[in-house]
Amino acid sequence: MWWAGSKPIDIYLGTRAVAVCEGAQLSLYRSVEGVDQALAFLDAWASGQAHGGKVALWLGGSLCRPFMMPPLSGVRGPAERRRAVAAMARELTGIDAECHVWIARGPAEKSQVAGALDWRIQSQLEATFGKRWKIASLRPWWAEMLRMALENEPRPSAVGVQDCDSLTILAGRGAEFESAITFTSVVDRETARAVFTRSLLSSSIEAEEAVLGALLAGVPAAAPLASVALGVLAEIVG
Amino acid sequence: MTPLSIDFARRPPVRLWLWASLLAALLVAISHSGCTAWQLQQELRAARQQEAEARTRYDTLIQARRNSELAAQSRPPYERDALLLARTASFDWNGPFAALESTRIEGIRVLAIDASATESSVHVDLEFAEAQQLLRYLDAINAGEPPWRWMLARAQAPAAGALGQASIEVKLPERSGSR
Repeated sequence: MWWAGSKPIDIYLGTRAVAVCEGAQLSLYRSVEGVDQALAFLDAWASGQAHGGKVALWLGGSLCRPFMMPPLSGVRGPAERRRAVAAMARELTGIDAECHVWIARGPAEKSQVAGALDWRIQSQLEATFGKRWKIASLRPWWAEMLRMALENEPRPSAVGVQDCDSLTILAGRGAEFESAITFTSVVDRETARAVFTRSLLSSSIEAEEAVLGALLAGVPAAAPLASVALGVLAEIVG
Repeated sequence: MTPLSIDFARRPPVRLWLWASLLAALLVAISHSGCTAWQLQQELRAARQQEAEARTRYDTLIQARRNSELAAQSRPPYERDALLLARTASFDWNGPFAALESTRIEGIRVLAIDASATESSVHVDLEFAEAQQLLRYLDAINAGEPPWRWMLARAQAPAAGALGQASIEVKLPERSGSR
């Protein structure tokens, strides 16, 4: 049974893995092949539960990708801006589908960080959890790791987040974002480190100014991150 | 960089919640007002009932007071006699009766004496043989200029062997010093 004030169950969804955490406890981790298998597994899992509840859905970097929205001039109002971003999201993220986009607040004349999610995935998740469950949030897990990383001092200038199927890198000095990108099909740690290091070099960011976090593949972390969702699987690796 | 509030979960529009909240608040306010109005109406009704009861009690008390006052003001049955007695005592009866008793004229006979305290007068019916005798009797009974005066009220001359009849009366003077 779900109560309005109860803590939601954290559910991770990627193209190669699905995980369920209740608080700091890892309840389930399952390797999958592709997003369709992941969605089908979650649907079966949700139907098999005796009762519903509140869920916080965390998406892998390949399903929800950040990108830098170039400055838009002549756009009238947020709705028109959103339509323009949605039209450009497919090209800027590489998601080959119609996307639901999120744009950071800020003037349209300046470059802004944005995120895109395949509408079909969102619709299927809403169909799976829409009846007996309540979707408390539907967020990319890299945004959660970014939040955690920015709570530390000094604030990093680059944050890399590796999960089951991708590496997402967000970089920028001060309050601005200078780059936001997801590298898909990055599944091993060495490749992730190499891509992250190369990205830092191209952005002229020292390694000391950067943080690389990772979602472990079903093995609880030796030093879990208590302040982050799915923290039992999360670890700072660089 | 700053943390990103990126979230794709769809929620009911804020305006819907806002309107729902406003509607709920309005309904609460209306129901509260209705409840308050109902309570006030009940209190008003109770106050009116209390007022009516108080008025009834007041009227009852006032009526009882009036009744008692009326009872106090109503004249007792013996008052008339007492008044009559007082009035009788306020007149000087002795003079006229003494004159009536002491006056003797041949041919005049007193038939009846009617003393009335309410009219403060004495009425005397006489029988006489001749009118001259009746006049002398009047002179005699009024002799000495008393403070009263007998007056001839009625006279019927003798006829066909029957005696004449007359009535004299006197208005009684009040006693000196009396009201």
